[in-house]
Amino acid sequence: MHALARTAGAASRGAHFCSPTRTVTRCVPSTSAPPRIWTQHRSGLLHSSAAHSNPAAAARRHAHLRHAPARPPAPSAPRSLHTSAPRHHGPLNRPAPGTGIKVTFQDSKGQPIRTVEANEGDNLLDIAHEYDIDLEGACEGSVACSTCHVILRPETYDALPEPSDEENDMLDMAFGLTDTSRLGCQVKVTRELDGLVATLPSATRNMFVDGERPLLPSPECGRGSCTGG
Amino acid sequence: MTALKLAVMGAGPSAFYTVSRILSSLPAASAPDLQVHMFDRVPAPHGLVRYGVAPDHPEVKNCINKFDQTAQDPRFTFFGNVLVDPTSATKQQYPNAVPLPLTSLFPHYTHLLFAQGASQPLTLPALPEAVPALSLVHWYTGHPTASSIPPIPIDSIEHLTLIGHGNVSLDIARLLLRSPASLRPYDGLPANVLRQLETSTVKRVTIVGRRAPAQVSFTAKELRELMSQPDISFEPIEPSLMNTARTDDGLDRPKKRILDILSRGSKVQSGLADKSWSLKFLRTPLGWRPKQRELRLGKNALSARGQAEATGEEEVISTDAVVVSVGYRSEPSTGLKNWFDDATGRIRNSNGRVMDSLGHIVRNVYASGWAATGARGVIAASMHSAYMTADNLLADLEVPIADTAPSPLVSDPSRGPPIPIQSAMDQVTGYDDWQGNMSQHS
Repeated sequence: MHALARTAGAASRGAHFCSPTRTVTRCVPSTSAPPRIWTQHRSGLLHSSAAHSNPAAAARRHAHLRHAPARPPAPSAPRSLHTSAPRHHGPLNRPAPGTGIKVTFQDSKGQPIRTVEANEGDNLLDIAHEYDIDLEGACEGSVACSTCHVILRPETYDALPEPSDEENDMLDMAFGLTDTSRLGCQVKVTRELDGLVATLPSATRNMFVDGERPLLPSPECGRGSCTGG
Repeated sequence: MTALKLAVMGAGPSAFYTVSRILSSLPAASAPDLQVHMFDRVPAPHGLVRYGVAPDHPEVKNCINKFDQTAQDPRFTFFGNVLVDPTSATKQQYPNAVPLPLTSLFPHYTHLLFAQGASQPLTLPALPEAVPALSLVHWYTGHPTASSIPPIPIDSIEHLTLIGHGNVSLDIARLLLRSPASLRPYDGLPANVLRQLETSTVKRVTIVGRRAPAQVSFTAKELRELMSQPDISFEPIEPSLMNTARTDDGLDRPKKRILDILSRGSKVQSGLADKSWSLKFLRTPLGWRPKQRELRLGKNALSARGQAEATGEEEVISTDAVVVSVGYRSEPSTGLKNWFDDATGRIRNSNGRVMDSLGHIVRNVYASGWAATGARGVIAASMHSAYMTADNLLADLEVPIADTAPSPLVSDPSRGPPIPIQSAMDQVTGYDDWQGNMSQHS
């Protein structure tokens, strides 16, 4: 940490440049007026326009951009236009110790990470998040990604309802897909599943060395914006 | 442990996932002086999540919530509207962005991460007049460089042909064929695009690919979605083609499931819907005469290795517009010269560690996501690439790689962002600008 400590001086010297709030508004201003403005359309995205030549108007619009209004207070308002409401229901109620359904998470090498207790109906993604277990949930339980992929024991897999077509479509893109793979967000625990063990696939892997063919999840979608869109 | 003041090129999923891994692995308590500066040439963060994911797939964009959390870290700063390592082409595309030569970063950072994706569409020399699919993607996602009118005259054409069997083609087909009423609930669809789609006369979409049904690049989700639309029918595929595809021994589970969906076809029987789409296999485009509306296609056969081989036979189909969607590469730029592999169209790297043209690892320079892997894979794939790069960067902080090419970076960086940024802060956008703006419109 010695070297890191050494940059402390440089970092704190730099701190005057932008305030900790990280809004550009509070950063060192420049005297020149912006040469263009950004106009917004319905989705809150920007279009630049060189057609607006009134610097005062441009500055006003620009200020509007800078001083972004606070989020709407209504709790039911969507967080942003670009995301859908998560289907999972946030923090879980932890059962009283000794009364819940036991779930063990283990790593890809079979080393136990943690055994936790959950309530009937909780899903594995929510349970993992409740107990800070490193299981991703990029789409937040809306079956639009494969990041909460878990591997179950055959007896557990067989005891569960069949995965839907939509879940299987996502599992097809999971790293290290197995015959007993499921999306954690789709596995609801029941009393019968007490003692369930969920294996997290390796979070990272050395995928390729340049010059070799990348090892990527199959199918390689090879699309421009194939980020799941 | 080495100091870490990191400059990140790009603000899409690979950039955010790499940074989130680094920041969560080095909490503020143990690394209070760590700094991350993230640059993007457009004013808003999130890259293809914002300007690539189709507007009718809002659930895919939920990963933004995680990116927002990462951006809350006081050690993180976003600098939007900054064009790092400009070229004459990108300067023309982003005339309002603050140009930032790559060399100006060197004295200010200990580490660099290239995560700018792959934004240059591959073209087909045989079709110089065809429209790149990226133009349509930019149009329907409201990208700052997009024209406000559709790149193809959707209010006067009936039959569109797309080249390339990937998800972008399916996205475009779906958005053009869906009833505009069904798209109205999606706030992510720009208002002008919705209005323009309401005037669309497109009735039929043909998607052409070089190879056969077992070689398609699109994924089951997108295919199933198009097959399930209530008012769009799919023209069945010749049974002989499907039978041949099924005899391939190398089919994995995803491919088998895609073939099943293709065989089952659309919910609406062919011929019973006003709008339809079809897939054309084993065809390579040879020429497009827009005035005559003639697309000339060469017929292929599939080699034993699954490659397309021209048979010498040709056919001509009639179509009103041609859009090309055959992949992407990263953009080469001046500063990258030694680190960019022109043959593969990505940054030369070994597991996220950037290499020079001699194959030596360049100390403290990294790459992740499509810039490192090429343009393939969904967000989850970029996340894995990002985590691998982050883990390697973190490991190198502890134990530096011994035998590396000299790094242009410094160990005791100057404060703040590079000088050109400091003098143009009024043009730079911050992260919170976007959260506010988006909420305002929700």
